[in-house]
Amino acid sequence: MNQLEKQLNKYFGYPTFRPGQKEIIEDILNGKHVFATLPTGSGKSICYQLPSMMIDGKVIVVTPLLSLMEDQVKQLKKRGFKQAVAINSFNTTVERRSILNQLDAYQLIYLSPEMLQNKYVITKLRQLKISLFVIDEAHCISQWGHEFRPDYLKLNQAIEHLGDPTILALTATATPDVQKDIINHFYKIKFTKHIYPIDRDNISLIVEQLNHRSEKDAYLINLFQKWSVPTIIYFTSRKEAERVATLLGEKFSQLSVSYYHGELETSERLLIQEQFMENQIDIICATSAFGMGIDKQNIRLVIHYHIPTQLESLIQEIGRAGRDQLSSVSISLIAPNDDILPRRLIETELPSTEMVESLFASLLHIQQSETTISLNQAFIHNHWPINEVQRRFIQDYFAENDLMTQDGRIELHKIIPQIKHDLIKRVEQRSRYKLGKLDELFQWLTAKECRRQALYQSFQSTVREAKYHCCDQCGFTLEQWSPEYGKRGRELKSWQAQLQSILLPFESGGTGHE
Amino acid sequence: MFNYLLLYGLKQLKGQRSTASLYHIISGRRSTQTIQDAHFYQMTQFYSIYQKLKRVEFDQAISNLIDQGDLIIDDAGVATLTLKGERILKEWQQPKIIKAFTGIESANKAKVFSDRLALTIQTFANLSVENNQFQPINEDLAIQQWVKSYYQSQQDIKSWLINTYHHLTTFLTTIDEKQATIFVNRLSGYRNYGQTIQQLAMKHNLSNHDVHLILAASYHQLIDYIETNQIKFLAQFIPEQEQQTKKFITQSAQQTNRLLNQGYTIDQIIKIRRLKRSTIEDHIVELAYAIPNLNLSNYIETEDLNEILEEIKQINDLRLSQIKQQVGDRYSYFQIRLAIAKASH
Repeated sequence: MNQLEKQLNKYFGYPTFRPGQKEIIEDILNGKHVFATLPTGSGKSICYQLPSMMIDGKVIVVTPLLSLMEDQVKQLKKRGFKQAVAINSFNTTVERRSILNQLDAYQLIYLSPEMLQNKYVITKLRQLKISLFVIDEAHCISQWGHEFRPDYLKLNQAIEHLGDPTILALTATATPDVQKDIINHFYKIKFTKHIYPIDRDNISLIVEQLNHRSEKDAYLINLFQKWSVPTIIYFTSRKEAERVATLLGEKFSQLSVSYYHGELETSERLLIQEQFMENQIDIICATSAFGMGIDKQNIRLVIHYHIPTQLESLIQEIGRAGRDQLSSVSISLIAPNDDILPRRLIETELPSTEMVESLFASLLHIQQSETTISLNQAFIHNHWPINEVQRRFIQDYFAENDLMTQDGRIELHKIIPQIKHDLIKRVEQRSRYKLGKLDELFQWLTAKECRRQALYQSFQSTVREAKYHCCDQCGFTLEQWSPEYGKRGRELKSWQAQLQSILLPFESGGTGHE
Repeated sequence: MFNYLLLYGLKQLKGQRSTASLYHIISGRRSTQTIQDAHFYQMTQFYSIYQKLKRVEFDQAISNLIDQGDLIIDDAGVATLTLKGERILKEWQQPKIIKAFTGIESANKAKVFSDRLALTIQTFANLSVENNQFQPINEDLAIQQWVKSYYQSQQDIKSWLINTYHHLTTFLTTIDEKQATIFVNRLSGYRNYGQTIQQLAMKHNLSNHDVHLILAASYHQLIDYIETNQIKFLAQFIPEQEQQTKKFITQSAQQTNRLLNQGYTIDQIIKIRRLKRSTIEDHIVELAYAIPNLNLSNYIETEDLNEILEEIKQINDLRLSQIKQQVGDRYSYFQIRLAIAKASH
């Protein structure tokens, strides 16, 4: 075993690296800037977590996924690595202060991009030796990426402030165009590229065209009569996730079915995640809130009861299956009018023209008496119901066009009617773009060619052959599938036996697991 | 169970208060008015037994009861039980479990106790098989810190687990079978995570509220069991009583209390704290509820106090306006409220 593998084994308990990890880590340790695409579920995070345990200076990870950073910090602590910390809007002001005041105690520091706009944070970071600066989800830099984040455009500045550390830009889903965009954006940095194919050869793909919601229900019931493997079923609507979980729970008393969505309390969400990890739950009916940071190896089946709004999300969600590289299946269920829900979702992600009109009317009005106003106050003035995503869109637009003061207030003298027109144009542009992405997804769902080729071809030049079975278009049906998975332990019936297994695991017959 | 609790509580309010008062009592709102209500309507045992209950959930449950024809509600939000509602309440054999709640004295006690115990069980179970990689089920830093220092004080966690196992088994056989099952299902151990409220509700065909109350009641009963049988090593998990009394007084009233103890008069405190007289009076009433032997002689003569107490007994109505009518203008509202507070002890 060489030095790196020893470290990997010591900290993570894995004897060998997955494809790409070692090469990337070696380059980083040699001080090379790295741009890497690695498929979901291939252990992207090891590429910076392991170096953070080995190198002298600090490692900074910028990621827009707040729950992911929280999860990763938790996982690392679980493994006994306590020098990781997350700084984001989840922290209270007091917590953040206290973290920032003892920043030197940490090796691995996760930050949300907006935290890097905070002068105090930058000042504190500048006092440290930053050896590695990681840009996770690097596709957020690209306007043509599916998750453009204007905050990311300012990373160049932050990197300069921090004394030009080694850069690692990581992404799982970037088309060649987006890759170019990212590399062009950091024109000062000479990247060594590690492009790994994102296709998952152990996942077989099925799209099932049905006529109605009731047929989807019937399909699931039929399916679980034959298969009881660790499964995630994705929904767009929380209500539907709950409904189907209840339905399946009633139909199959021998299976453990639960639902999961963002409305559940954090402590309850945590229990469900862990139960799923420990195979106490067979089927989980979830919204897209579930999965980020779930490192479960033996998920055999990912079903889309509702489809997301773009191929990239679908690829990510499908990729949660079969991390152990064993045969796994993705099933997308579609019925007529299934585009309505994602279309509505796209609409709610962007401010409407009326919203913008009304906001500018009040801004022009306030302009007469004030010089600046915070965006929140402006919205209160405006009385127009606006959600967090829409608010963020407008805020980003203002920030990007230099209409905001340092402390995030709108500079009212800069507000002229032209800006409103430009903003509306931007909204329309984004909306067209997103609807285009949705069309792309539907084209894939209804295409008659090989699903594997069609799904991955825009992301890479060649798509590998399937390791087990390819897709329904290539003749795969579930009847041919023989999945491997660890069976759930029998459930202990009496509370007496359960209590004994919980409190006295060291006695024989301890846990209820195999 | 939750629905019964609502019917019971609304009946206790005697049509004198809106349903919101009941919500404030069971969710444990820390205001003088709510504490006063809990005493007035003899529901101190239910005070703060369901802190997580959201107002919308409460209102939903009330409107369900109206739809079922158990309740009617007037424009002022005051509920009256229908004959059907009365019958349901009467037929309901108030189970032991409801009596388990000791409310006002242990407002937060059961919650802190259960959090500490559950996390200790999970931690010790894992450590007993040399596993230190597990996800703690409780992320409250205060609770984690407590468990950490408790762990450091322990010599032998296996015997702790065995002891606890025996005590819990004995305790659980004294309560209802279903209740015991829910209690155990909720616990987490080694590679075995407890069930969520929703999961338990689904499994046992109950509402989420019922599951919550059943668990809360179980922990109240467990505390009682530990205290009665003087199980010292588990009694350590019960938070100090003194701390609780303090918690029960609002911050602002505590500050007024400090000034009173330093010998300041009401008028002086009004100046120092820049508060209205009515606010300071509210504080003193609150203190009178929380501190049984609070000296009231600065505000009302003992004889007068006794006279009002006598009147209250006679008219059997705790509404301020009714009492005021009865005793006439001889006493201020402030004095009458002090008397009512005194009457609660």
